[in-house]
Amino acid sequence: MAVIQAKEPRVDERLMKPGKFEITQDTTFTVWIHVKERDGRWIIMNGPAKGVETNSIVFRMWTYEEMIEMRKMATAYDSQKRIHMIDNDALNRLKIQKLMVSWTFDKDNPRLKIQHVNGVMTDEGWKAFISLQPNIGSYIIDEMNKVYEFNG
Amino acid sequence: MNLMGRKNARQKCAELFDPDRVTVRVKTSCRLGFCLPDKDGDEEHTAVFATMTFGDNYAIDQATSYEVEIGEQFGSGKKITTHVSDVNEFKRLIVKKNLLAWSLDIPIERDQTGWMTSDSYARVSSIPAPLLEAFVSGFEESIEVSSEEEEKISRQCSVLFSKSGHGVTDACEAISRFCTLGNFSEKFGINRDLLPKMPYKEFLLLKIVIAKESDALRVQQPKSQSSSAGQGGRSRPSRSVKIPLPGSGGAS
Repeated sequence: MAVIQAKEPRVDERLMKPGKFEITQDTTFTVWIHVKERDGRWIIMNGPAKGVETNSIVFRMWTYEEMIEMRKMATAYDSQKRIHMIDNDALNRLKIQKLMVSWTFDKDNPRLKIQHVNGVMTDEGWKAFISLQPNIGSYIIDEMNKVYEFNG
Repeated sequence: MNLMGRKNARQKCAELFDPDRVTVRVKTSCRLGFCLPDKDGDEEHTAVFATMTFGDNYAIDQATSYEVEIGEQFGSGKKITTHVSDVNEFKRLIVKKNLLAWSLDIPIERDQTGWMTSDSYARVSSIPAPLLEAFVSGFEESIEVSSEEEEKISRQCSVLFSKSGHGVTDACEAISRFCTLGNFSEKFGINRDLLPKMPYKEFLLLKIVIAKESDALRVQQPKSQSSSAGQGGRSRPSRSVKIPLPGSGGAS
């Protein structure tokens, strides 16, 4: 009777395993946001406390290639100043659409659910993001950029 | 000598004896689960780049330049265009062309043309962007001439090449290289590859004689074009007498 041995991973899978420094879909970081409702508005708090609601937003780390591509898309040549200018609003939008993986704002509100198609956030997902209060949106972008642009 | 001094000396020596390589060191730390640049980090990673040559720069510049419209000609309405280099694409091509080796566990492979292969670049560029950007920025610093540096060169050149100039004290890198290399190459045929290997005492002796020669000739010929490294750390214009190479005839 033939003995079936435990299946080993294919040679190419063993060889092509990502290195310690390579970005995969699991290379993520989380931005935490603590908010409290006051007079019908959401105020951002420093940390968790009584009556403070905590949400998290998960982002994937960007690779060098993604950084170059996104910056290219957000850069335009200013013929008056004769220099290349980065449109930071466009760049932030690209980062959110391509690198934001999930968030917890949708736990009580399915309308805020984030969907992706081919790794890019859908237009509905982007509309959900911009429907947040501006102070919350700005806070998320600032915290995200601390990692992407200022090394954490 | 303290540890930092020894490290700097080793680095300068490596630059001098291997001018074809630029080593960039980046302090890092592991935060949020991945390796990011951190000036107070406890780890250090290095990347070795091929020195950006004129040819490299020309090739990359040609590959990344594109035409942009900058206005219209008055009257005819004809569009005026110029060519500009795509700064982002330039950064990508620097990695493909000049990154030779690094301390990360991702192999770097090149094809026969000297460019990184597509497969290799796909893996190299999949590391966290801030880390590779720190390496590239470090490399770019080795190419750039800062505005302060340019101002210093202008200031020292105006002294060096003035009619009453007696040389420059505390010469900047550009002046120092121009004078030393120019003079040793002109007189003895010693180029930038051979000069670092020259016995230092011999170099000092020749430098003193060059300075004396320069002083003596200044009296006879007040106007001069070239320059030499002089005595007491002064770089000064040369009124050189060319020393013939062995076998090339008598002294001039």
